[in-house]
Amino acid sequence: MVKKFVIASTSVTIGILLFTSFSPIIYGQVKDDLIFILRSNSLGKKTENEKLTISKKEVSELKLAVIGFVNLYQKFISSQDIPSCNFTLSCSRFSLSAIRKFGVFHGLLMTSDRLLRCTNIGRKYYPVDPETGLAIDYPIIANYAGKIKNRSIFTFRENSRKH
Amino acid sequence: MKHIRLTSIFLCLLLIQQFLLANSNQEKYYKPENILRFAEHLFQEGDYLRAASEFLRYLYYSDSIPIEEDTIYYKIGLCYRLGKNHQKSISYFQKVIADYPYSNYLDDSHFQIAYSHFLSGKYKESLSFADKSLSLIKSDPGRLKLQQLTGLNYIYQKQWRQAVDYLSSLENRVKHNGLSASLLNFAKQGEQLPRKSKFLAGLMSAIIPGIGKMYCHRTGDGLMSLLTIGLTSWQAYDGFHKKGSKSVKGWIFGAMTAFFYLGNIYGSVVTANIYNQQIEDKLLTEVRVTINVSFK
Amino acid sequence: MLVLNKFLLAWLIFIWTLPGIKHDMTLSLGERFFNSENYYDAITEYKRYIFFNSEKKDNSISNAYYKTGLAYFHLGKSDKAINELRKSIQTANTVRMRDERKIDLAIVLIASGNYGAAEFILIKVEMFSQLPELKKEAAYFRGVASLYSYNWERADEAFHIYFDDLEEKSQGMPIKLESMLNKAQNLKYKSPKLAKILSTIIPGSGQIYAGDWRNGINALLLNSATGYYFVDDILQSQYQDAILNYLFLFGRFYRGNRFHAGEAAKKYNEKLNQNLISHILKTLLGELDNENNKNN
Repeated sequence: MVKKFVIASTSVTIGILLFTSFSPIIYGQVKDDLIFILRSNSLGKKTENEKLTISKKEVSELKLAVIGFVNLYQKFISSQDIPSCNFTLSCSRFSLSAIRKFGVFHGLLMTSDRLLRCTNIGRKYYPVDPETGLAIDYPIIANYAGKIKNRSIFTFRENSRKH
Repeated sequence: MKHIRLTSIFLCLLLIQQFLLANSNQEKYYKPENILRFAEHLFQEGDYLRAASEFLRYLYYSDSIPIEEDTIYYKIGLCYRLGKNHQKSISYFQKVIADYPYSNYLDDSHFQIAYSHFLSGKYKESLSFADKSLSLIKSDPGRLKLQQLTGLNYIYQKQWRQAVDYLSSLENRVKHNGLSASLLNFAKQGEQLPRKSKFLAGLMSAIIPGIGKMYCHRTGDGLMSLLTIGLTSWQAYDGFHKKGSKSVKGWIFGAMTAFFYLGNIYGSVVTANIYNQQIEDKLLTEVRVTINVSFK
Repeated sequence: MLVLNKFLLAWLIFIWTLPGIKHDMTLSLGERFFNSENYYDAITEYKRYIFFNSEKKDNSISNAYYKTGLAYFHLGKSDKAINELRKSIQTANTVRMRDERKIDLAIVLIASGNYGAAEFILIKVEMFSQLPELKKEAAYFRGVASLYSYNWERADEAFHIYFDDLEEKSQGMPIKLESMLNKAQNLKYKSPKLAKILSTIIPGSGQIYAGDWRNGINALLLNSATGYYFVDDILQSQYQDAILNYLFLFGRFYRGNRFHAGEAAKKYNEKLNQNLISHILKTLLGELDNENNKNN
């Protein structure tokens, strides 16, 4: 009698173990999947633009002054303007990028040229960024002093926008 | 006693069965022929870097592999080249050349090294390696490919004259080969592209703002430059006319006029440069399409 | 003891039928790599398993594709991940497995931001699945997808399906969750239209209404200054200056102020939605812990 009871209970226990090892445990699985979603798709994710602020490495006072002026313009004037720039990199960001890369004089020349080109009429001369629908124009492309070393202008992307 | 014996027999059978299963799995996956099959499958699928790792794994069974090692090293190099890891691909092709001087893949390896340099944008290295290899390779097909690659390197460095001279100097049977003839044609087109003079564009914009840009076929940009500089200079004149040198408006608009005028000259020179780049890039795109079909 | 021996024999036969799942070393190697976040190598092992066992009729191939998909997702390759998950659905042998894989695909779609596609798949599972627990799971994730797309009513309806126990009607959606979803449906959003109208009347007031005080005051000061000079030019009969002022200064900043007022209201609403979703999802996690405790 005792033997039969032991055998029966062992069989039942093993059966339960087999069943539970193959059946899905819904609640634990759902929680894990929800945590997976939360980690992969965190809310309020922002695409960070390249930060073009004053760097401690900048030693020229003139450069710092000009960059500071452009930053002030961006914060207090440009932020109130209608978003009318035709290019992916806005004119003020282009200016900051150009001044940082090529110096004050060259950067200002490039800025001046850029302001003259920033119109709807001239948009057709530039390749279009498929993400934003705006024309592509980066400081490197607009630079006369440096050669674009055998790179197609149509496929050029600045470092910060590399996939 | 009988029951204990039976039970122990069952348990032993169970253990043996587990051991056999483990071994049969190992054989199935890690038998050299199966590793090679899997590597080939990954290569066909386009998963080149993974295929390279599997070919390397296959090489570890060096005692029993039926296929020659040089074939495998060549394949690994090809995988890395197709997977765009040019540095590693070059090292494996160099191994074929160094360790297997009588390999069937010798000529191809020379070509692949030069081609890998070309694909990673190192045209000078590609040229010098191709030049060295031409003195070592005797077979016609191998030499032909290297000569075509040499011409291609000149084209990609936009050395049109050198490209025309080189491709024209090749022997007739090479010159009239389909790809060689196309490359010669591209080189001639490159030489004769309708380029714009940067100096002329700048000078024209200095005389009449915007004209330099119109000369470079950017009429819209030219018109806007003319309009903007015209407007600011008019406002500066208006300010100075009313209040003389004390006019704040005059000075502000005067400074803006100077700012835009200098930018307009600079922009015209840049536009000529970009125009020239764009027409060359268009030609190079056509070249790229042609070689993608011919060079694999 | 004879019964015990018979039982052991039955157990041995049972174990003999489980080799593919329990003893496959490449799958367990893949699992080990996956668990230690070495996703690249995990993918290699799963691909190896699939290549050598493609003729198998069990669900192990489907599992291997599923794990490959997850590994690709962790490597940031969402397109490849979705492709592999679709293959895992196609190779699923049982209805249960197919539905589970569809839910897994929907989870990855939600994780990669494709809420519409995820909802579509989950609705199909809810409608056509014959397994009540999977229908509930699909409803749950449909609720999550609706939350992410700010569709509170659909989320409410979906979570009601999940939390309503069909057998015990006394159980319903947890009170905290229900109240949050009710709150979501009655959220006090800022109207972008009203913000624009306010900014039309008094520049900057729309931004202040939307809670952006800094930009509101900035807009007010800028528009006041440029507006003052515009009016001053008109009063002094300097019409050309007034026109230029309007075209390049006052007009731009005034229109910009209206545009940014609308944007400020939209940003405010977006922030409100995101805070609420964050709370609801945290509540859901908390509620799941409570459910788990009750069932155990």
